[in-house]
Amino acid sequence: MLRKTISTTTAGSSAYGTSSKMAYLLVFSDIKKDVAVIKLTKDMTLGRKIPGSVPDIVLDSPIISRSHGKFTVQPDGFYYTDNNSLNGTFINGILYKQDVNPSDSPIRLNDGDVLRFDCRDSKKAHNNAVTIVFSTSYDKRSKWRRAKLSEANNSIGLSRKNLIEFDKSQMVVQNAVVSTNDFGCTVKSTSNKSILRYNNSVVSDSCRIRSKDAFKIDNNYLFYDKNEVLYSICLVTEPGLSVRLNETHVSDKLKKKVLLKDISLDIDKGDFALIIGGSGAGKSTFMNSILGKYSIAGTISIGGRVTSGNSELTSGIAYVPQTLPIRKEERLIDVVTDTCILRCKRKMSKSERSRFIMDTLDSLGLKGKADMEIKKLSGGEQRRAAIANEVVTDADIFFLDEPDSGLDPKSGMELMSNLKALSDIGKMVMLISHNYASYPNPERIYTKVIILAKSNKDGIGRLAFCGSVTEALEFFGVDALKDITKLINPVSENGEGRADEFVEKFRRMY
Amino acid sequence: MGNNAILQIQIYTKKFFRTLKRESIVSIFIGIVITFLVMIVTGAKMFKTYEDTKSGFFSLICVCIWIGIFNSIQLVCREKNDIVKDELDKSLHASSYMAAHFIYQFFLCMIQSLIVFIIFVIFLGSRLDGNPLAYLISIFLIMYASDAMAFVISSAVPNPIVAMTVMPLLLLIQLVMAGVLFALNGISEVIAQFTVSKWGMGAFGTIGDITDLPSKFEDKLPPKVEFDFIPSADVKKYSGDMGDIALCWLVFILFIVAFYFLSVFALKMTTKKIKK
Repeated sequence: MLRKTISTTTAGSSAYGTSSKMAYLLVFSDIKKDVAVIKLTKDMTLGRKIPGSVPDIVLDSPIISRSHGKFTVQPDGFYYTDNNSLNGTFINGILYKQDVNPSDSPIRLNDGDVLRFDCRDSKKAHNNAVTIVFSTSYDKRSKWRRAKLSEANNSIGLSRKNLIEFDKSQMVVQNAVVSTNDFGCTVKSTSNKSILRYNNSVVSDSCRIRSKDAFKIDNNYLFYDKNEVLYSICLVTEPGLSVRLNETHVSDKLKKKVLLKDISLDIDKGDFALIIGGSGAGKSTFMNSILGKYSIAGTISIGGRVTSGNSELTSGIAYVPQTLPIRKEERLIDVVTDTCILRCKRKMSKSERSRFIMDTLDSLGLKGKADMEIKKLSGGEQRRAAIANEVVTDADIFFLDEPDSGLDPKSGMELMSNLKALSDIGKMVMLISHNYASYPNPERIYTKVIILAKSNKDGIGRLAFCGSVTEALEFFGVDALKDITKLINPVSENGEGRADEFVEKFRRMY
Repeated sequence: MGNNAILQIQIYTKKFFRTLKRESIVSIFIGIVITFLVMIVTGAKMFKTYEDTKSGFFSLICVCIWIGIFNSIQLVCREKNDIVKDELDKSLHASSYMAAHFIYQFFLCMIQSLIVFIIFVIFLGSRLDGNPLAYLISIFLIMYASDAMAFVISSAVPNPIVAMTVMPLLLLIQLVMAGVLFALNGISEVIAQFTVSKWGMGAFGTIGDITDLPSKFEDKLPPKVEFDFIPSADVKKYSGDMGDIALCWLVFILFIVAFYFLSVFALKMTTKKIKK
């Protein structure tokens, strides 16, 4: 039974709320081949390769026309247009083609939409059919695995007893059962705690799957073909940090002063986000707003849970302020051990804790300094000590306010590598830095850059950009990140005073 | 108080034993020097006349209050903005933090009061009148109550500079309200009920049973003449009754408990997370 929940809309008909997210196309053509993951960052054509014309996405299948369709990236979202191809395109099971289901406008794509390229009249899947899943929630670190289905019921779930085994998260012991038959296979949902989707519709009971079909269980995509399933394991399935900030303000008895306005962005786990902006743009205020230190209007959520009135959530954020919050008379090992005992989320024995602490100090290049008093460490080491003091809490989110302040470029780069290593293991790291220009290849360090700018009109900090480093350079039309601050800084601070222009441009685009 | 709060008290108490050791040694040394100086001046005259004994006790109380206040006046305010505020944001309980401080100061005051007591006994020798253990307990309670009182200031003020500015005022109030330098009447008598010095004088006067000591003015003044600065009612109040001593000790304990809660409250108020 299928419960249709998806509706396709046409261009411009609705706002695309979270388009600052990445979009991916998961292309599945053959069970013997891996799923091709294509990042959709610009308009891309889709078709068969012919001499003299190579589309952006080449699908080597007789089903596909030479110029089959086109993906477009627009300010309000992502769209697909079928170029009146011979076989048309099935979107979530509905055939789009001029003579069958004509659509004058491009079809707006939603997360999880399934595009299938198959014979238009065939009820049975063609051997050369191709399926593409459009996803904005796909985690690029997902791993792909194969499982050969048996004739009996093949279970899917968390436990090792399942044929298709997911690693973590909302997965319950058994989520679904796949049974093969002459038609293809049937997928039956066995738990009301997880969501099975087929053609981007929730399946409350069971659905029939043909060869080359895709289905989704929670955040994991599965492709079926020839009694085999190729499936993704999402390493990080929990939502990260979502900020929908209308306003941050301070007020006394007489008046209210707005510090930040209209900031809407998402940071995922595993992201290493750099916050930059001129003085007074509200970088620290933004961080402190998330930490619950300012009155805000809007919603901030971590892992899908709203932080307002939930100090447990914000106190779980590992925050290293500009002034190092450690007693410098203490030995490093004593400081981190105390913090680990009091704040570490993980339950550990004494020996495990000791190993964990030493591993942490080692990873930050402080192992040999464990017995030294903090005040006897160098400036860079003290900063790393403060970071180590937060790492031992095993927090998932790290906020650092100018951790590289006062460090030479080499020490700063080392620190960035340490922090990058944290994000590589799935932690969310967000930092404010003024020294970012001294580190080479920022696009390899930071997965996101958040640019805040102080408005020339009212002096309030606003979001001027949120996206990858490459996108930021393109958005501002500059060659290096350091040039961005020059563009947005007020003229009085040797800038070009174009903050409002970029804030408006970003607002219109996203 | 949950398990986590108790664990926090344990960890922070250990932390303070590690980090405050050095400065505590300094304050113990300064305490020894001050007690010596005071006892050199007053010790020889004590337990001879009522007035000199009273002045000697008053000086001893000043030493205890001074040591107590200096133990703690800067402890919270100097790390409040950079460290404690951050730790409170990260789930530290203000009550646990202050409790750990109070526990550490308890032991420090015990050592300091024992030293003050030993010097006091050395100087007085056989002239010491009253139960020595009662003196020791009183010295400790006066010192610890003053220590607790200074914690309230330290928790309420933003930095050590302000704390050190407020401190002389605090000492002055204690000196004036002891009822030794000036007779207390009306509102001042009411305020004096809330000072450590007033109850300290009550405790020492009662233990030493100084009412029975002769006045040094007895031979020099005409009979039946009373002076404002030696009110007859004042002489009568040091009864030598153990019940009165117990009352003084109870008041000190109440002071310490009240100062603990006040310091927790002050710390919470001055480190509020949300900026309105």
